[in-house]
Amino acid sequence: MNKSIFRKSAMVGMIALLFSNVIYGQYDSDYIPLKSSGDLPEEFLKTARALSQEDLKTIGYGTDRIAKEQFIISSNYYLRDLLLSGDVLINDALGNYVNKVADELLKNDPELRKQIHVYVTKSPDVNAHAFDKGFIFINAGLLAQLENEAQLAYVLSHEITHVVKKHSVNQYLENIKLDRGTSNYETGSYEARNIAKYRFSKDNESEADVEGLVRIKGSGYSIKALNGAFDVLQYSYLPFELVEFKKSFFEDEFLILPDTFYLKKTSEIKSNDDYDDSKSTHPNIRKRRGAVEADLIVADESSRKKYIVSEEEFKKVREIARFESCRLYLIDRDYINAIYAAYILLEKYPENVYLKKIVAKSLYNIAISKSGGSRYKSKYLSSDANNARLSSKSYSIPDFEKIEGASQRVYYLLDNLDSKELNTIALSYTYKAYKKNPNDLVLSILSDSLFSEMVNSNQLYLNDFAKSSKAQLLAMDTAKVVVAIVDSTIEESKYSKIKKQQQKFEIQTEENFTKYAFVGLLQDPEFVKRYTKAARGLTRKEEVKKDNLTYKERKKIEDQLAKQNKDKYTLLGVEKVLFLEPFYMNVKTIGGNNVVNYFVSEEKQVKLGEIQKKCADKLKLQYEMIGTKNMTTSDMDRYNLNSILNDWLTERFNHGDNSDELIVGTDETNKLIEKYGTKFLAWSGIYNEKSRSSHNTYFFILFNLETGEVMKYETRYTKSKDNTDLITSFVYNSLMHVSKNPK
Amino acid sequence: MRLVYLLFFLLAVSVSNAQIAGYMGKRCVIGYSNYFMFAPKGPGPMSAEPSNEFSATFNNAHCLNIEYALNQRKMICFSGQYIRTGIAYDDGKVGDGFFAGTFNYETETPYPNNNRYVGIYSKPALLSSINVALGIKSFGNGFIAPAGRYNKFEVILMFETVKYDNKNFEHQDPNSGGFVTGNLGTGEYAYNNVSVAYTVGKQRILGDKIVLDYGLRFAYTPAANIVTLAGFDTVKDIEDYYRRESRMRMFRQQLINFHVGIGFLAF
Repeated sequence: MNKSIFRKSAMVGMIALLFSNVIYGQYDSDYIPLKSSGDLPEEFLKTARALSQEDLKTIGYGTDRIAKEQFIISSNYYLRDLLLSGDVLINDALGNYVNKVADELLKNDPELRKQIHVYVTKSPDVNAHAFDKGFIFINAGLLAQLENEAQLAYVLSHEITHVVKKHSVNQYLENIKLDRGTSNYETGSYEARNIAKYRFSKDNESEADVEGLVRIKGSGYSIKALNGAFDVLQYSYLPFELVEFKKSFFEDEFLILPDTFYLKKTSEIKSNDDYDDSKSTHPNIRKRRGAVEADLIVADESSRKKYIVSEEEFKKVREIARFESCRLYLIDRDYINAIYAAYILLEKYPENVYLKKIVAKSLYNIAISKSGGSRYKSKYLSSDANNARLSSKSYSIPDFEKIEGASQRVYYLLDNLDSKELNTIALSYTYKAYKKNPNDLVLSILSDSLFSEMVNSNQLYLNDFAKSSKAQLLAMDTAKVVVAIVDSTIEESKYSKIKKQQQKFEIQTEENFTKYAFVGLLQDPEFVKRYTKAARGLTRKEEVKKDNLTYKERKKIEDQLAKQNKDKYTLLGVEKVLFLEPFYMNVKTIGGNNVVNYFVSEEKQVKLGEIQKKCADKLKLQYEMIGTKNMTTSDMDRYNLNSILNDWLTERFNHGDNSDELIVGTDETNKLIEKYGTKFLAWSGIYNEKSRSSHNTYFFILFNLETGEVMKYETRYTKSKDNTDLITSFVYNSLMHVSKNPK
Repeated sequence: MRLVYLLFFLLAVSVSNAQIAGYMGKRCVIGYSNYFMFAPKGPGPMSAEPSNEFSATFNNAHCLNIEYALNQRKMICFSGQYIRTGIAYDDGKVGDGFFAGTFNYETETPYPNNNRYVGIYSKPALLSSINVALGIKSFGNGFIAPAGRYNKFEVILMFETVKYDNKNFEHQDPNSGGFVTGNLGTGEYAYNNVSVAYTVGKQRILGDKIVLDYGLRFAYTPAANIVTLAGFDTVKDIEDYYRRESRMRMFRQQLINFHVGIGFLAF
């Protein structure tokens, strides 16, 4: 009997161990970013108009009907925009788990459960939000920080209260009344009424906290565990773990970072939970905690659980969310957080190539920004084809003094390294990662780019690096030192003797740690070969520093560059282009306020897509629209493709005019380029505003998915209605310059 | 020979691998426009009152246009126009002064050499003009020719012809005081004139083929070169008289007018 129990326990233990290995073991070598799967839910296929029409039937004919109508139309437009943005995950591991928790939470209220649609969104922010229509979105960043399933249930319960109580529409209606001075909530001055809007929002949040707790009490979840949920919110600005950062992360036997780069003591975490919340939509954490504190003690706590669905699944989901967060930080150009998050995970999965790529890409981007930026930055494109440029968005490392906790050391280290040092570290890290994963294209490309940066931006050549370590060189006699450092063919002479003495002295006093950084790597013939190749391919011309020039001098240089690039960029000779769904916004100015005409915008967006198709056909330009219009339930591939491209585009725009910096989605976009046979991605749109007269702003932008380079960027502003013929002429003109056979 | 040049030009522009989009690749517009010219004092070509008091009316200029996009915002425009209008006969009160003993031809007589018209007043003299115009259409910021708002500057060469009823004039014999019927001038004169015009207009494209054009035109036709009647050479003077009348009419009518046109995208 005892043996049997023991055997069973052992078996269970084995299975649990095996299962945990399955959970964590799958990330030992790589991680594949989250994708949606299965069929597309019905809600994703409806237009904003269709979604609104359902809701408009329910609002009655009261005095506030018009305001309600406006709210419904605008919220459904933004809901649909979010659903099809590619940020929402469908049938993924995270979403499935979160829905299981929602099932558990609402198992006694099946009617409400039917109204609630829970999805996980690809955002690193520690947040969740709800639409009155019943859609709840939990950010991956929040899942990465939660401690247990009960906390997730509480977050869901809080958001469900917002849905049930229709907080969004109530806030909207109250805001209108407060603006007009007809609200009973606050009748004072304009300033007082403005503050009252925040107060009203805070009241809603408090209600959601309290009601959410009531709902949780009705479930089997631990109440005690919920207190930590407020800690999650309070410390949400910190990374998901606090792990001491060791500079050895970037070091090897020969590349040793001086201690001066290592912050001795990090700042204490001093988050204040009693901050001024008078102009905040949420009460401060102390108030929120205080409002429910008394209710967190329940008699039946012992029978309650932190996990009802599955502890293993929660931990697996949290781990995935943490992996995903690394990538999302990168998209947001939050490079230090990306490195630190990857560092934390690399402690557990030291050979994970995905994490190494996160670090390598982040280092590359920081190195590029330190070395002065993009090689494409100074191209001034011809005015016919390109009359606009993306805004300049240079990256700079946030001030380390404002950072709290262990990650402060990463900020300090990377901020204090100069361009040459950072480039050296980035190359060392990336090349070593590449050598361990020689088939990884991204690491290979990154290494080559960093070799190029060494030569082009930092003027560091192979002979700037020692082939023997400092200790070895100091141990050698002077003659060998010179051989080891410089050249074995030096003849003995008065001058060589002087040189020997100088070299020995230099080694003793050398403080530049980068000199010995590649001692190990220089033993690798491939490293030497690729470095040499980069040095031979030194092609980048030194840019003229334009900061000190007069306007006329600068204009002259710009005109010359524009002339040089005119032929190259006016006609691009492209055969096939991938198009993202166009943007269209129709706005009317009524009483000084811009009111979006959502239905018209949605319809004209479709029309713009049709115009693009018509013009492309006329120009015999192969046209592939990666849109989300007219999808069916089986169009998940299209949905995922749109998601990849939107991620790519978001990050690309975050980089502004700096296209040297690597785009996160390089792996996915390479596959996409192969699948569709083109590396060109176009996006265009129109903003039409009508006040006294109509104004149109049209834009067209063409990217090279491979390099991130902006091939064409055109904007047109016209004082006119958005007539079809006008738009057609704009679109045709843009595509003509793109297409192979313009006429 | 000129036709050869024109054909060569058309051939060259139609096959050139240009970087100018036009509309859906078409840069040449052929069309017809009608200019409505307000004539506040009349007359129209056929609608005169049975006196020289005419009511306000519109005259028309029929215009055949060929326009070609030179770059994104500019079109070169060639047009041939035809204008037909009337010049009312003056009912000159010749002889009134004579009988009153204060003989004064110059103040009372519109026609040279003391002539007066005795024909059908309701059928005015005909002024027709064949114009040739060359202009540049400059489209507004952001627009791509040929669609959108434009400003047009053009120079118009006008070849005017005046036909009048020269047989129904009579002049007063200074000796007898009686009126003698006779011819005055040749009945037809041709004049050349030049005009500069500025148009603000808009072009729309319907169905990717049809071009709709409308706008307002301001034209200045020199009318200052008014000849003073010599009073000695009847034929010369009547020619000068109609030159003056013709220019005044053109000046007034072309000054402000609006047009509506329709055309098609040729190539």
